[in-house]
Amino acid sequence: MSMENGIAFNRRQFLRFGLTVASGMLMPASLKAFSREGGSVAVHPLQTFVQPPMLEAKNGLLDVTLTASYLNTKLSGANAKHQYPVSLRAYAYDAHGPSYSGPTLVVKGGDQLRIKLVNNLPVNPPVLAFRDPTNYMKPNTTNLHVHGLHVYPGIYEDKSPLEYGDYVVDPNSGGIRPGGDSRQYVYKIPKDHPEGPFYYHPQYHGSSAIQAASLMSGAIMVRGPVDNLLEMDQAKELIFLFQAPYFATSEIKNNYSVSNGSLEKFAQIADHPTGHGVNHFKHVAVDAQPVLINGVRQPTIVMESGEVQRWRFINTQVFNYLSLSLDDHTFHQYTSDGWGSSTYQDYPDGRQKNGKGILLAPGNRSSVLIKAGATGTYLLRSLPVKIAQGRQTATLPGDILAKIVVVEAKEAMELPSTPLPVSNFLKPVTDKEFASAGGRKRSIIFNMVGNEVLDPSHNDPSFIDEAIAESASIASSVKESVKQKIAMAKAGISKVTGNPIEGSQYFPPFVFPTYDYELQPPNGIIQNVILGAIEEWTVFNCNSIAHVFHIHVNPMFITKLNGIPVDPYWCDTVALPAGGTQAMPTSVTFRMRFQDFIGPYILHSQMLKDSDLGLVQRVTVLPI
Amino acid sequence: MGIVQKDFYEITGISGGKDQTLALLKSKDVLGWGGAGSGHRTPPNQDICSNKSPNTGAVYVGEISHFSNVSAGYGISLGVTDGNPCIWGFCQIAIGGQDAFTEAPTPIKGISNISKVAAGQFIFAAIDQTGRVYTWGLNIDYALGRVSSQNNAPPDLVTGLPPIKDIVLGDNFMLALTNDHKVYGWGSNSAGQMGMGHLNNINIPKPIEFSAKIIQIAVGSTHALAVTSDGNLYGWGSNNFGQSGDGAHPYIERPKRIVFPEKITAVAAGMHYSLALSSSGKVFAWGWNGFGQLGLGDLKSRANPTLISGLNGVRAIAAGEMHSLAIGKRQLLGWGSNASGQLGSGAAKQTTPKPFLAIA
Repeated sequence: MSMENGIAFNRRQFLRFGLTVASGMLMPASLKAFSREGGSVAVHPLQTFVQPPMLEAKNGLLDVTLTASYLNTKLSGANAKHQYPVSLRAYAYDAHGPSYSGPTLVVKGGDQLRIKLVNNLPVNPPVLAFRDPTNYMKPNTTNLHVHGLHVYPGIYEDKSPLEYGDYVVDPNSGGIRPGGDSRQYVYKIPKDHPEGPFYYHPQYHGSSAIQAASLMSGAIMVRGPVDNLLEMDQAKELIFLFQAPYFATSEIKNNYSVSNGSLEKFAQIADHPTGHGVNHFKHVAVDAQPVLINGVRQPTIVMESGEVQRWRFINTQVFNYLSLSLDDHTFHQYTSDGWGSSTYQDYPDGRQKNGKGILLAPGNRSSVLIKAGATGTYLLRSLPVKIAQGRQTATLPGDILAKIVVVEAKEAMELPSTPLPVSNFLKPVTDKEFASAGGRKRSIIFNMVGNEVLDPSHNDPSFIDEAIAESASIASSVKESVKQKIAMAKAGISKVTGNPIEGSQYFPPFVFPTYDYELQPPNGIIQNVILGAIEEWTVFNCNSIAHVFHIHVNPMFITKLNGIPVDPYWCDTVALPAGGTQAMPTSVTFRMRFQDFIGPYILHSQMLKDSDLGLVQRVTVLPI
Repeated sequence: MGIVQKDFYEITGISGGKDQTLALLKSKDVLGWGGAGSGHRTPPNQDICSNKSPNTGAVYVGEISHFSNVSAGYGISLGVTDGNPCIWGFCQIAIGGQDAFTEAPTPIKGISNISKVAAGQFIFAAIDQTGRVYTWGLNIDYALGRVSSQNNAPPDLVTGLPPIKDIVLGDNFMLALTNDHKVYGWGSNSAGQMGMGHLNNINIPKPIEFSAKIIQIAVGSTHALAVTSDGNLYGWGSNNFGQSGDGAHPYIERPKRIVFPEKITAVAAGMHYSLALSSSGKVFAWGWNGFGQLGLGDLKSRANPTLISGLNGVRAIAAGEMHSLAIGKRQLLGWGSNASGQLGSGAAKQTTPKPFLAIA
């Protein structure tokens, strides 16, 4: 889509544009502004920021039914004024219809969260291309993952019908099938569960990208002592569910025969993983999918000068990073993902000297306090992010995510004073504690490789280099001619072998660019961990791209970056440094307490198309 | 890897890896059982997240024979054919600049005249016929015992070592046994497995102090065992399940003697568990027992060496991550995890020794 009349860069132009937005009221009809208590409150007429409904546990229980089905609606593109009719997979809850996101689920330590997930998506499409290696992908079979929550990942076998914890190790023949199949999930939140933002999304192997890149996600807030601080309680809470739904449009060159407004083919994501639409600097940045906040493109938030608000950021995107910065303001971060800290990490305006954006890889969250400055209009931006370097370089373009209008003050507010309360669950892992709990170390390799049985004569790196040199675009950087050559080679081999995925011989990765699909080599390794162990894992990145590592159930205590010690911190999703190679992989090292829960679960790339292709490994925590 | 010294057996060596078992035959062929690194081709990954059925039965590794040594590592195996090392299994990183390898052995270029290989978790070692040590793989925590310009380093010599006759690999560390019965260590020291009285990593090979001559060494994930020439056994490193032989401390920073009722001739170690072979052909087991790898008929861990009853006449022992192996009388036996078919057919947990191959 054209950007020429889209986002403007200087303040004056933006103001004009912002007013248009306000008068246009491009707000999803099914969303209303909600206060923390769940009731509607008076909202400044300029405000177009909306939040999903908030459902809070009562008497230790929150019981909700989510239904997956198609939502037919209109979504803004990069240009907020330009709306596209779409038909995308989405969640409905209880008796309500499907919406731009699932409801926000609010619980605290000790609560039980029950989610019945009903799959009313239509049956999976028939397999058309017999030898397509992605035939195992079933776009309408689903399941549910509560991203980051420290909860039991198994099945409660003693219940009839069965009840499920954060169980995602479904076989290809299983999952929650379309056409009305359902599953009862039960998450028992531990008493000392740290308070912070989490979220839910599908994690059914092979279809996680296509579903999460529709509208299938929603926020989970775990409350705790920090939320009870007077100043925190008084600060208005805004939850930002950053979504970037992918769908076919007439502006996209290749929609793989998918009709406009729909996301039905894995290739729509896999072949152009950063998306389409946002690119202000064609020559230095790749295209990116426009980001919506709770379904709205570039909403307006109204604050009073001196007012403190707390903002919860959740990057539900399936590939793209965000680097959040607010003009002339400082973010005071107090949770990294859902894991709190006793002090604030300050992020001043990233455009200015000594400023920096809050980097959110896909799956990352953050909680910040923000104190509104002088009256005026300020932009919430995502700064450009270099997501690949080395063999290939790629920079996500900057974007404008929201407009903040600061009006006259009624009263000044203060930030809660430090130290903030932090759950004992997050006490640092010392060397002695590590030594006493086994001291195991593991190396995990993230290396996207091609495993096609290609004729090496068609695997000439000079072709690739040439292609890269001619385009900075991240995934369309293989010239069509190269693509055709590779495709011809693939077809030729397919004819001979009858099965392009059978071969386990593979060739040096092209990293980016990809051609259609690169199914990963069969991965038979299971990481077996003994319950109660503390382990130190180093995750190596052998590719140019900054892969994103996520592991279920237990948070990571990050200790090293590229082998160099860092100020340790907790998270559950971590960006691996870009610019790795097989000879010099980049790395992140963390320690983890494998306590409380046994069971099989997974580690995987939160760049979900890679996970769907095989960048995933099973972790089994074994009973003592 | 437990090597049988005499050559009248059809099996001349056994090695247990993460999920695989390798048996070196007198014919110089290698038989493999189990998961990655066994020689079994792995099916496509559509069920990568879910339970998969184990590989049953043995396969010959590759088409070439003339193997003189094998080592089963973390889903990856190494072998020596005519003095040249080769590699097979599931390895997502290149080795020494070579990218392509599969369940079919691929030669490792750049080193030759190799007599012995050792495969770990993306770290590897080889000893040449003059006792020099080559290491390669991921050089974290100084695991390769040398400085490398790449952190995934190609094979190169470790300097500062006397002639070496055996080398064993744990989590980011290595121990080497010299021809004159001394032990050197380097790499990760997360649980005191360097045996030097502290928890600091060791960046270049350093000797571990013993008053006796050491004739054999073994390491698990993070603990170490050494047999002396007079039949005594020492343990050190992680001890959270008593795998280093002393239930009192969760880790042991210096070698400590473990008392046995008879002399010990060989040791083997897996993830937090240990095996010892006595001079009378009996096997003792202790440490973590989650898959029955102690062979004691249950899943209860033991902080003290416990005799496996009914197992006699054992000539050699080996341990994988969670499975145990023994060359017994006319039988190759295994116990512990069989989740990947590394002990042939049968249930995933084998709590007593189970014969899975008849041998001469």
